[in-house]
Amino acid sequence: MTSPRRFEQDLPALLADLYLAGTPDYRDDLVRQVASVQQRPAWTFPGRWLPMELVTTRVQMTRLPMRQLGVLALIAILIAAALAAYIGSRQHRLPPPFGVAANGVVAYSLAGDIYTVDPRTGATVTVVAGPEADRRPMFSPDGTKVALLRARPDTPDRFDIVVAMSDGRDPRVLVADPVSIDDTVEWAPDGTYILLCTTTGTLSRVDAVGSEPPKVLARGVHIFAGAFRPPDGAQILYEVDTSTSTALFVMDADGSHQTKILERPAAGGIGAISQNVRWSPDGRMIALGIVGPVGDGNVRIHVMNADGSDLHQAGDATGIWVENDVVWSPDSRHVAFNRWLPVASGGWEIRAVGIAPAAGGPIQEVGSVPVPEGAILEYSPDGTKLVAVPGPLVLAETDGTPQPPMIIDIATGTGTLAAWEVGSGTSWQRLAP
Amino acid sequence: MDQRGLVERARRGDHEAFAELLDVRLARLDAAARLILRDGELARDAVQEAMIRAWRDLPGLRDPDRFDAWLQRLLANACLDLVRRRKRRVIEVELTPIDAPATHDFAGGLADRQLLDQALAGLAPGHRAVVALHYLLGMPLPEVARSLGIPLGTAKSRLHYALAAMRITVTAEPEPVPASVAGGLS
Repeated sequence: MTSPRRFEQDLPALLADLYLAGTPDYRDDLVRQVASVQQRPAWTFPGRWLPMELVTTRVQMTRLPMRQLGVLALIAILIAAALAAYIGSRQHRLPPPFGVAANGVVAYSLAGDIYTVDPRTGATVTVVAGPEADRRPMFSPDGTKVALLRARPDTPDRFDIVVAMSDGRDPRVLVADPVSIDDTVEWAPDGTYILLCTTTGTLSRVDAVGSEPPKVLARGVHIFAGAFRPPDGAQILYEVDTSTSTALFVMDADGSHQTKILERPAAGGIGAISQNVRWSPDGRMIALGIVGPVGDGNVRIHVMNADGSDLHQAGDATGIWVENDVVWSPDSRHVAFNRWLPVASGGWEIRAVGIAPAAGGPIQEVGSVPVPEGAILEYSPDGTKLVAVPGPLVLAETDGTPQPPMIIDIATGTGTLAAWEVGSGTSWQRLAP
Repeated sequence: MDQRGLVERARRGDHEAFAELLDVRLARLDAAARLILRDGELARDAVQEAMIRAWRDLPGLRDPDRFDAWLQRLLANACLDLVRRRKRRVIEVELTPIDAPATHDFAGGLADRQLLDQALAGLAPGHRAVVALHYLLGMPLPEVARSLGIPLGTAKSRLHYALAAMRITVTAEPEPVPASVAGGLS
């Protein structure tokens, strides 16, 4: 028997052991065949004689003129000062862990350090800096603390979970095995512990205030971002995969009372659950991706009641589509997601982010078209904005080339590139409304 | 000579430089193709097709530093093209000889390798392609998505389910409702 973590760590070596068999005996034949083929002249490639912007699908997004930006910034500073005085006068109040709240600052990482930016003013503050490579900050639901992943110097693909106050004070490494970038890390609603689920299926609660050892809640499960059931987080939503089915369960937050709420065909099969599973902020519904008639090249976001009843498609897309990376609006009325449409050449074309009513209805396209891999989406706590960060930045193990996230105004549907750049995902701080 | 220099030379039609580039990559590309296709002959066809296309289109590669990612992308697509073209043909399963000496200390090596092979056989070629690119060729997941022309979420989903299938088989974890183990250590 092999431990799940060990299994994943050993997988590259195991696959190499199974499949690597030295230089293939057809090497010489291959070299001879290649020698008989003529290369295409360089001028036949479009990129060599057309400006690349004409032959790529890169979409330019709107940038605010600097002059206007300056005026706006000045106004925003005045408003921010007034707000700061207002917020400062009621610091003792905390927001509810779910649903609509007031907007705070946005945390992000850049070149291994953690910053916050006030999206209204563009003012940035260094929160955690130093020689360590820190990334993927995540505010606690009450906005008072921030969790982040810190790369281990000896094994940069493994991360410690570090928790600090929201301004970066009192950082401490939580007592847990190092995690991988693909593991799911989720704050408990009261901010006292972190829920950690490894890609190999071990679900644990990790103390974020004391020094209690991690407690394993279940094995062989998978959770998604937004696993705690609002409004109190008393239940955890999770998925179990078997060779014959994928099923959604809920358990109490202590790991007890595991109850199946939905069972679908096995992974990748028609009708199977596809990755996206999230509670609505009011705790009454669940959004999830369901694989359509042509396998995992056809996925639609669906919504159902908390008990698994009334499963229906959220948007109105027909034909072959992939919808992915769903998030809920804080008022639980809409879902937003990435969308791809197949193209004749065999690839996929990303479309603008879609927003659909949870009850089902037409999809509203918002913002500019994200990068081909899609965006990681997050609603602002007040529900008026949507932040879209290029997906590859969030999933990479190290901060990539910094890019500005797109800030989508929900009311107008317009997307504007932020004046600040990020190296990984963002987290919007919740404040008391 | 460094890789960039070799790619530049090959791009200008130097066969020896291309052969040199090939020599240090062929074994791993062949392994990836066999993992995806589970058939030695088909793997050879896929590698051959990918390499010929690589040679032919090399003058169009703008950034020599992207050579590996580009080559791996060509291979993955050649494999999946073959699967599509031969959908109706019964693919013969060629198992790697299991008496080859293990080169690491993976617990229960032989049995686990057989189980892993069995688990991989049960996956769709598209899922095996994600495993091959990510775990055998070391490609980051966003690059895997780009190479296979699939959305990032689909790549994540495929990897998740492939890992789950392998884990279920190799670690013999219980398939039904997971047992609560409150109080234990991670």
